[in-house]
Amino acid sequence: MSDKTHKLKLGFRDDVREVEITLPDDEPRPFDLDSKRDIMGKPHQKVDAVMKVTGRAKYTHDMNPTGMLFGGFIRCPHAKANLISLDLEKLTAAPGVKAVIGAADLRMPTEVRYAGQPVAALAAESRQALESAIAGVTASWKVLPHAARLDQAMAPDAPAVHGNRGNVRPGRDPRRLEEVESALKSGNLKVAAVVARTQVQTHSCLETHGTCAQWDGDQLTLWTSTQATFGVRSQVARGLDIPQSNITVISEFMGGGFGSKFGAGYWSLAAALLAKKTGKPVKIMLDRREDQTDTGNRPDSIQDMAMGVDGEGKIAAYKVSNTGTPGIGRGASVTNPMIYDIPRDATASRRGEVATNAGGAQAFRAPGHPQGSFGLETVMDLAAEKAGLDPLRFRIRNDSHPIRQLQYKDGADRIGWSNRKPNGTAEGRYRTGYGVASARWGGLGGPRAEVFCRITSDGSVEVRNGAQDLGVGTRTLLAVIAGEELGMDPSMIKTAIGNTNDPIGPGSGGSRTAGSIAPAARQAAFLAGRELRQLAAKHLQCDADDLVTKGGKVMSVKDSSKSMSFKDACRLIRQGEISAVGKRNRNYGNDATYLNGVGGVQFAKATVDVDFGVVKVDHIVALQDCGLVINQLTAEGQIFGGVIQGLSYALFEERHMDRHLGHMVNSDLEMYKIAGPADMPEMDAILYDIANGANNCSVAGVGEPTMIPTAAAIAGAVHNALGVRVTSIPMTPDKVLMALEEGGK
Amino acid sequence: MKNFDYYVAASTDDVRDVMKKVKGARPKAGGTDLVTLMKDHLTAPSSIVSLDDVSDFAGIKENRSRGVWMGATTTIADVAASEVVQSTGMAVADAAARTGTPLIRNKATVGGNLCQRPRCWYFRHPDYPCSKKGGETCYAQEGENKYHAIFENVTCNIVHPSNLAPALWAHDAKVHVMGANGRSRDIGIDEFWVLPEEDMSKETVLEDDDLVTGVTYRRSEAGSGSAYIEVREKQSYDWALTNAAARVDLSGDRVKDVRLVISAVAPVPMRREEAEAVLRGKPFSEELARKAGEAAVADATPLRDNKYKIRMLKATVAHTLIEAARRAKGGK
Repeated sequence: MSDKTHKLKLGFRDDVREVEITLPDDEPRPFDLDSKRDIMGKPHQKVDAVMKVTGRAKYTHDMNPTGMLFGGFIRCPHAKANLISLDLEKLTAAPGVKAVIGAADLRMPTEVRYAGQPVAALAAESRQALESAIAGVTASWKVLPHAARLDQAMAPDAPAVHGNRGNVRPGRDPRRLEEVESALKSGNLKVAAVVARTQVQTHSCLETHGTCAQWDGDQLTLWTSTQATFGVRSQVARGLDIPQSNITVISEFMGGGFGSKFGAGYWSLAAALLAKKTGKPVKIMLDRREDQTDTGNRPDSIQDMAMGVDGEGKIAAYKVSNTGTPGIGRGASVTNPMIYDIPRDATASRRGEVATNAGGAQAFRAPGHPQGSFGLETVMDLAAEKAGLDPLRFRIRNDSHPIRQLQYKDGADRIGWSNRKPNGTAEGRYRTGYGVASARWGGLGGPRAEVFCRITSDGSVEVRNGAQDLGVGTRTLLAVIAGEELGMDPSMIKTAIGNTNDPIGPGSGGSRTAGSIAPAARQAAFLAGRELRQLAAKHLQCDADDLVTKGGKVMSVKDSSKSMSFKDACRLIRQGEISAVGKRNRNYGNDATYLNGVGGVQFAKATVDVDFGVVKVDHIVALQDCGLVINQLTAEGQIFGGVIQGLSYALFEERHMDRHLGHMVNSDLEMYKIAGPADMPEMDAILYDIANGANNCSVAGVGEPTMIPTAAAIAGAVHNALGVRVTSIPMTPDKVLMALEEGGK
Repeated sequence: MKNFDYYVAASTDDVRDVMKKVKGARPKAGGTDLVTLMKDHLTAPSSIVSLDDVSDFAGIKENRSRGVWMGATTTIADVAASEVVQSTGMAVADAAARTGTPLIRNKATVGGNLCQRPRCWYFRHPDYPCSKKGGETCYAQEGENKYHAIFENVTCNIVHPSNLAPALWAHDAKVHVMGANGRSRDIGIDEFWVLPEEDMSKETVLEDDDLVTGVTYRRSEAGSGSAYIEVREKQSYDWALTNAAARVDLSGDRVKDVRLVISAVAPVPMRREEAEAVLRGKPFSEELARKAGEAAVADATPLRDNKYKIRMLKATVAHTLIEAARRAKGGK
């Protein structure tokens, strides 16, 4: 194998950088600004769209193997309690119940720390029998005082959530605290101070969490709704102490994850154990209440901030103290500060946590960031106001990111920023305002991912990877990339995804899936195509290096008479098929890479009905870098999805914990409110083709950054409309009316 | 949900027969509330009688004496789309159009809308033995009460969920009921509701075997207009935080008669006669409508988290009256 040196043009239209990179010759020439791509970057319908809308796509919920039993859990009705006794014999004898597994065998604690915590599992022959058995369970509990709510947990004499430890972990005293405080007090800076609050958001996946388990001898098949097929395989293997090679995890279609579906979940282990015990397949799908309370959430936050701005309109001092609630879990950190050029030596930041008797936090679409964005952009808007600067101008002055600089300009044009009036000058019942906020993310992906590509002698092409498609278009990505490399329409390419018997792929987190799989898919198709071109070159009597696969043909770029159809070329394949495995190598590294992450900006236009306190978002302009676009339709789909979830976070979603018994009282999709069709604004997704040079596709994932700034941009628009700041999300009518009242309006 | 027997009635007689013979049989029209009650383990009927094929319960007809009849199984979508309702009972058409989602409106019915049970999250949660379910505590009183009542909230803090109820009341509607004996009777909509203090176990005066067969409301004549407005957090599929329905009968500029009914703020819909009195006999003005809004909230007793409803309700009442008066003057 020899190396090859490529000259590449990276960056984007306003900022082009030329680099040279030497790569092994099994790596195709990386795409750059000069690459002419026929298929990638164009809009492609999802290859499984028809299957999905006609119901032929089968999700875990749809799996019903012959003889299947229905599994479920005995859960604690108290927010804090110790299990004294649970009558497992009686439960086993309940009509229709086939097997019961107690807490010890499930490795579950019997010291319950949140309402709805499971303590036993059972399988029954029908859903009805399961529910009756659960309802009839005999258990006795030592009920203890709880602190299910943040205000309860922070009260001076609060019951301890964990042992005797205090619930509030204030975090370390920040460095430079005194200097920053004295700068803020010096009188040389314009200072804005505010406490911003964000709520607990639940993932609310349309498909609840669950698994269907079936044994065949010592071979276990798990159909599961997951965002990490290979992660589930290794966790379940460890949990059952069996070889990973005995387990197949299948998730061909799944209905949403958002971060809550990384782990195998106790339901996977329980389903496998119950299936083993009964000799029958067992399916456990959580119901909506279980899903809302016991599968994770985005922690809430209290962000206490003060920002000082100098005479140049530059941020000169920043103090922030963040507190979040991970429930009984860990990790409630709020990403604040971020994005802007806030000098590190003038920043003092503290990160604390408060434990509560509530379901533990899980990763959720850009963990820490949407809440941090709401806090930071709130103090940014107030600081701009103090400094007498337009909020957009203030951001432009404090953000050196080259792509966002362009996005500020493009977005302002698109939303009509010039129509923005000074804060609070709108009049009448319906008041319109404009806001802006920014995002950053990594999402370049990396090892380990492998993609298998096969070209058969009848001309068919198949591409396979064992990772999952969260619904965002990963399966389609395989077809688009192979289509680009082999000159075929993506709809002609067979794809397989979501089965651990296929080559390894990443867990879908950190927006890494596209960035990890795409370069491997391209290499696989490149290697298979190269072998085909070598066969064709012999036949056409020309140099294989002069041949390209394009438009259903294998043809020479030098001599138009040297050409044959792709199908005819495939007939030259002797032993049935050509196959290749493409590997995801490391990103090329800093010298060759234009940027190690992505930038985004969102603008919002919103109208507030000041009589009713209702906010209607009129328009969102989302400007997003995602490297070189693979599929315009699914890239835009990701942006719309992020904006909608961000809008829903801004205006509606909120977990309500009851102070009496400590349950989440809105553990449904009715009173846990999620934006619907009539709440949708006009949305513009503006993509930028940025050749980041990180890998052979120059791709970056876009799942997470698109949700980060939406709520903050809407809050900015509401502020502009009303002249008062709503400092807490969701911005429901009660809070809007209260802000108006407090602002004397 | 428990298993149940399912009967499909073909006629009114069929319904009566099954209800008489099968103990505990529950009628089902759209099922949009009944099924959720079953899923929330609040009811577990052993038998269900479907009214889907009973044609004499469906339809919208104008009668001779200023009345418009709507059959109990008429869907909310049909009410919203009805030209008769749009021209003679504008508040009713408004309320129907704001109900649920298109899917719910296509299944849910007039009778079911009036008889649906409250949405209180403590009532609907299986782990809360609240007073409405025979327990001793109203958890909302001191608990999470952002969406709860600001009137009549002594023993139970539910809010009335029906959109149609206040609108029909603004049109002085009667509810037609068929009893177990097959005999029909009419109940004025002002006498249809039961406060928690009177009977915690139910929200209407209906007995177990009673069946709503339809409603008749009073038609708006020339010079009369009505409107229904609700405020909610989401514009897709949400419940009202406050709502109001008003009928304003004008003689020139003067308010000859007025009905103002508020809901989503108390366990029952409430007619607000003090607020009506502000307007009656006086030339209508926006200022007067705002005063009526003030009068409508004068005796509110909000809880910790629902004080906002007072300011919101004032505005809801004012805008509803303004819209009804605009329509009374011939505005579309």
